[in-house]
Amino acid sequence: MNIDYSSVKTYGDTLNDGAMQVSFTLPVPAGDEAREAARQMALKMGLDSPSVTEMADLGAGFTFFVLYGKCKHTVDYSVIKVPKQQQKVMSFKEVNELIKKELGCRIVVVAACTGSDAHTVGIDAIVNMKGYAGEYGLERYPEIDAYNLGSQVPNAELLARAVELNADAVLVSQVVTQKNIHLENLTELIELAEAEGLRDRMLMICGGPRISHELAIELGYDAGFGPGTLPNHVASYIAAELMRRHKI
Amino acid sequence: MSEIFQLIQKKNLKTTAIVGMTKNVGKTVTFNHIAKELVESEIRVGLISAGYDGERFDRLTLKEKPRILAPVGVLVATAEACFNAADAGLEFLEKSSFVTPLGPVMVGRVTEAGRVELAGPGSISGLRELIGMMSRRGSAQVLVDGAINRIASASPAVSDGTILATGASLGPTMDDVVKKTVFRRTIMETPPVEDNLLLKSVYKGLTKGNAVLLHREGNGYRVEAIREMIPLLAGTRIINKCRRETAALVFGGALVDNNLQDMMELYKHPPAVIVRDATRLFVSPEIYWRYLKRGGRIMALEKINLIAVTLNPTDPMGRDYDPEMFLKIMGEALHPCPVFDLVLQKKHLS
Repeated sequence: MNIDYSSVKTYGDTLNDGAMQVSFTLPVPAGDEAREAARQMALKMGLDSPSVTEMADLGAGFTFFVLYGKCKHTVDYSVIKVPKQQQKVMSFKEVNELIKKELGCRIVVVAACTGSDAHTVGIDAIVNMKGYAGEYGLERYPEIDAYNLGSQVPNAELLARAVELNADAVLVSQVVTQKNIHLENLTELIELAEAEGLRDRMLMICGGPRISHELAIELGYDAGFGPGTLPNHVASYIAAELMRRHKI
Repeated sequence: MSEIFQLIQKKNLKTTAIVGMTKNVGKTVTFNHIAKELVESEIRVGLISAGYDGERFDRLTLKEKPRILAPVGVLVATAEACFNAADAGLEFLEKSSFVTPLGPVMVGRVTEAGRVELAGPGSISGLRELIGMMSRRGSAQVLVDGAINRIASASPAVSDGTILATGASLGPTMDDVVKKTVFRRTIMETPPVEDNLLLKSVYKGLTKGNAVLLHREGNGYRVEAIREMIPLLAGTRIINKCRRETAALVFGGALVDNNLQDMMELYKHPPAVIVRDATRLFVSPEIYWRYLKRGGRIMALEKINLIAVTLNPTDPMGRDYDPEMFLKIMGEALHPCPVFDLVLQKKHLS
C-alpha cells in the first residue's frame, strides 16, 4: 500500500476514504429536528455525507448521537516531531534488586490525594499492596517504605509528614478538572515546597487521569504519570532518578 | 520600541520573570512580545520557561496556543527531547543538572530561526543554574516565562523584575478578575522592613532558627529563635511562645492562613509578621485583609519588583471583554502600576 504521509486521511474500508465515527451530545430534545441538528454539526466539523446511526434520549432535553461520515481534512504526518519521554521500565524484581544493590538503603515514598480531592482510586492502584492489573503496589516492594496518607490531605500537612518520614519521593494524585482548581492545588504544593526550602530534597511526582509528563513539567513536578500507569512504572522512575541524583 | 520594553531597559533588568494569574492570560504573548523587541534592539537575550511553554496545544483544553518563536542568535533553554524536536536550528552549548521527564534541560544557540518548545526547569535552583549558564554564555538579559499560576520565578532569588499577566479567564466576572488581580499585586508588593534595628534582629534570629520571635526590650528587641525540621513546623510552635511584648514574628518559610488566624485569636492587635519574600505568602484575601484591619502588618525582607501588568481580555473557554473597557477598568484598579494590552498596543493612561 502506498501511503502519502504528507496528507493522511482517516481510514475506514479503503485508503483515503476519510471514514470516521463520532459521538456527541446536544442539549436538545430527541426527535427529527435533533437528528438534523446533529447532521448539521457534523457537516460543520468537516464530515461529508454524515449519517446519524444512533440517537438516544438522555432525558431533561438532552440527546446523544453516534454518526458516520467522511472527513475532508488531511494531516501532514511527515513533518510531525513530538518530544518523547525517555524512561526505562523495570519489573518489580529488577527495581528491588537495583535499590538493594546500588542504593543500599530503602526508599521512602509518601503518597496522598491532596486538597479537596477524594478520588483515591489512582493512588490506591499504585501504592496499595494488591496493586493493579497484576502488578504489585509499592507497599509490596521490600525495598520501598510506602505511606498512603489517604484523601483530602492539605498540602502543608503532606509536606510536614513527608519531612517527618524523611521521604525520598512524594506522590500526589489529582483528578484535574476544567475549572483549574485541582491544577492550582498542585502548583500550590510545589510553591509551598519551594517556600519551605524542600523542593530539591525530594522527588515531587504527580499522577491522575489527565496528567502527562508535559503537564508535570508545566506544574513544576519532577515527573507526571497519566492513565495506564502501573506501579512498576512509578517505582522504576523513582529508583532510576534517585540513582542518578546520588551519582552512583 | 514599546513602553513595556523601555520599562525593562530603564530599570536595567538582567532577568525579567513573566508570571500569570492562571492559564490563558497571555504569558506567552507578553514573553514573545518582549523577546522580539530585545532581539530587534540587538540585545543578546536568553529565553527560559519555568514550565512547559510554547506547546502546540493547551495541555488541558487542546486549544492552539502561541508557540515560542526563536530568532537567530538567541540562547534558549529546553529539555533534550524538545531540543531535538525543534523546527528551529539549534547549536548545543551546555547541559544543566536539572532533569525533566523529557531529558536534561540544555542551553543552545539558535542558528536558524523557527519554533521551539521551551520545557523547564521548574525549580528555583534549576532556574538559577540556567540563568547563570546563559549569562556566562553571553546573554545580556534573560526572560523567564512562567507556568500556570506559579510565582516562584518572581522570587528575588531568581529575577530582578516581574511582569504579571492577567485576563478574562481568571474569573466568572470582571469584578472577580479585578479583585483577584489587585490582591495578587498587593501580595507581590508586600512592603519591606524599614526599621533598621528590627531588620538586624530578624537576620540575627534567622541564623539561629527557621522561625523567630522578636520581643520588645528596652529600646531594642530580644531575639528568640525556634528551630524545627522545616519552617512550617516551627511556625506552628511559634504561637505558644507569643507574649504581650512580642513585636514581630518571622517565618523563615511559608506563611499560611492558620498562622494568621492563630495570632488573631491570641491578640486584639496582632504583632507584625515578616517573611523572606512575597512568594512565601500562602494566605487567602479574607484572612489577609482581616489581619491588616486588626492592625497587624505583613512585611518582606526582600521586595519583588513588579514593573507592569499585562492583560488578555479574551478567555478561550468563554467570555470576552471589550479590550478598551477592560484596560480602563484594570488600569484604574491597579494604579499606579503600569497596565498594558500588548495586542491592542495600548497602555492605560493614568
